[in-house]
Amino acid sequence: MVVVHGWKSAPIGRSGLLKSIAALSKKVIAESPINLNDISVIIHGGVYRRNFRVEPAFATHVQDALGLKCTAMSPESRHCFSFDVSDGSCSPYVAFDAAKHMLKIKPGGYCLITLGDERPNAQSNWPYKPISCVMIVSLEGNGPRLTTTKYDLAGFDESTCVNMTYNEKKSKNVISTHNVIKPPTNLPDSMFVGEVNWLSGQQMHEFLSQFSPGATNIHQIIDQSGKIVTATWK
Amino acid sequence: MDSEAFHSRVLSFASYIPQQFVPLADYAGIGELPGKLDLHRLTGLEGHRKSKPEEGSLELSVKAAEKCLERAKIPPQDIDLVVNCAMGKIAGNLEMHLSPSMASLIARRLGIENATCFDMSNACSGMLTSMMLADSMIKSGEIQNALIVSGENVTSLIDEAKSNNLWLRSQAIASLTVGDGSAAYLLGRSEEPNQVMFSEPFTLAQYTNLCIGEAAKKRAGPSMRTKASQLQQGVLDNLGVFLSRAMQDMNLNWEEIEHIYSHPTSPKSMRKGGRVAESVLGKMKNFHNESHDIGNTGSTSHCMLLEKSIQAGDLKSGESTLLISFGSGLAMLAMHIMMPEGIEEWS
Repeated sequence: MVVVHGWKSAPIGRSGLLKSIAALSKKVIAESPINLNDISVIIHGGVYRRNFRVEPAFATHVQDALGLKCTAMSPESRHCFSFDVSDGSCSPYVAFDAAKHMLKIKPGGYCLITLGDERPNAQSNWPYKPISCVMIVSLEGNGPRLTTTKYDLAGFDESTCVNMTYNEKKSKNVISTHNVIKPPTNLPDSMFVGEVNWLSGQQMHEFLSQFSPGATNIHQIIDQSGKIVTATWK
Repeated sequence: MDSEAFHSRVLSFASYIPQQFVPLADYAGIGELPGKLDLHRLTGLEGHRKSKPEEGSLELSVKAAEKCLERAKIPPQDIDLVVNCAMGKIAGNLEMHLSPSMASLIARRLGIENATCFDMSNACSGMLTSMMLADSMIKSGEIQNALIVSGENVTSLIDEAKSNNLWLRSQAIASLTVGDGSAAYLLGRSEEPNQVMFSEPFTLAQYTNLCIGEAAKKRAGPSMRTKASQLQQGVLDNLGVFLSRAMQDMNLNWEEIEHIYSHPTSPKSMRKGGRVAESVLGKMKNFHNESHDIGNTGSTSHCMLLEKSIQAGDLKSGESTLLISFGSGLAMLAMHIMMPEGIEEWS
């Protein structure tokens, strides 16, 4: 169980993913009762990074951009731990579940979850208008409370996998063509189901924007691969 | 000390070490490198293992995972969590998998139907970071068995590096030290406490830009640029304090640890690191760095070295073993495990 203490979202725009995430993170921390140094874990969830970067984790760039405990180690020094998780647009809930456990491993602190994607390069066909979303979460307190997550692999269609592939004509690595599952029709009214073509940041932006305090909220993300995650919030 | 409802332990681990050995002289002879650089003298490297053309990250991962499940005698349907930690997820044709998680594909290939699957990215520390999460999930009672897997098909980095003028792009030289391989660990519930323990993990993000892996320019596949000496200095500057804190976190006696494995690097750097460790904590029993014929295999490095130790008959059930991980970022964490029962029969 994790509690969202504050969140911010915005279209990424021209400044790029890192600047967008860093600016939102500073804002959400400034508006919350916590200090920057209370953040003990940063977890980023997303798929697409500039020039298909894979190393180091994006979250370490966020940590550096925030200047968060970037000092030499001493016997008493406190430091943050940062890493990325991904599973298509189901990534937000992988990040929440990872946060729940990392906050037990590094107790007493808060986790900064960052979600977002950006076009890897101009040559790639990338039909998204990305939104970045950042959240401060901890194990206790007041705010939207995630109680359960359930993942369903049964509908996963392997022909939907997205790859980076080399385009000889463009002399560039680009995003491959791929299938997308047919979105389900007749969705139940009892839960909020995001659009299949929303990326991680937009999934959480749209859900949190319509969140009803005091009620049970169910959020389902259907990834374009057919993977599904269903989350219950209170 | 464990304080949770359940305990965990490593049930098995396995690496797939590709058979094909490529000698260093075939791709990084003294005359080929700037300033008559002798990579063998600098790194101790004799060559690397190269996967077959049809063995991409996915196929390599599945091979290690199958061997790991076989060793533990655990059926695939008993796995609740699959985490893939490969950095590049590069196929044999140099396409790179992006979405959804490659862990989902690995689970499918293994016949695992009901597991939570996701990918973890924390550079060379991805496997230990995932083990730490899986350990917490097992201790909380959420899951019973977790498969942590990675397949590094990275030797195309060597060709990419050599396509550059290395006089001008010296940061590509570290790419010549990589090798292919894969690894898997299986974590499960334990009756006994403290069979798996972790240090507090740290990221020293002031070093975050010293090793960058991303798409190659004007060629298929990945590239890597590393400021190796600065990165190694970052590790050495913090190593003594990190190890002291790690021993305190895990309540371990350094001199009772039978085997210590660190992320492979040059013999000179390993000696420097060893001197720092011994000056702070005392003498080490067995400090392993037998990577001269496999190279740096990224996130799989520790398990590849463990597999070599199994093949050499060096490991025994119940032996105290410490894995120390450094990953780009700069991530620092350590895991202490007791060697699984029956390990003597694995080779």
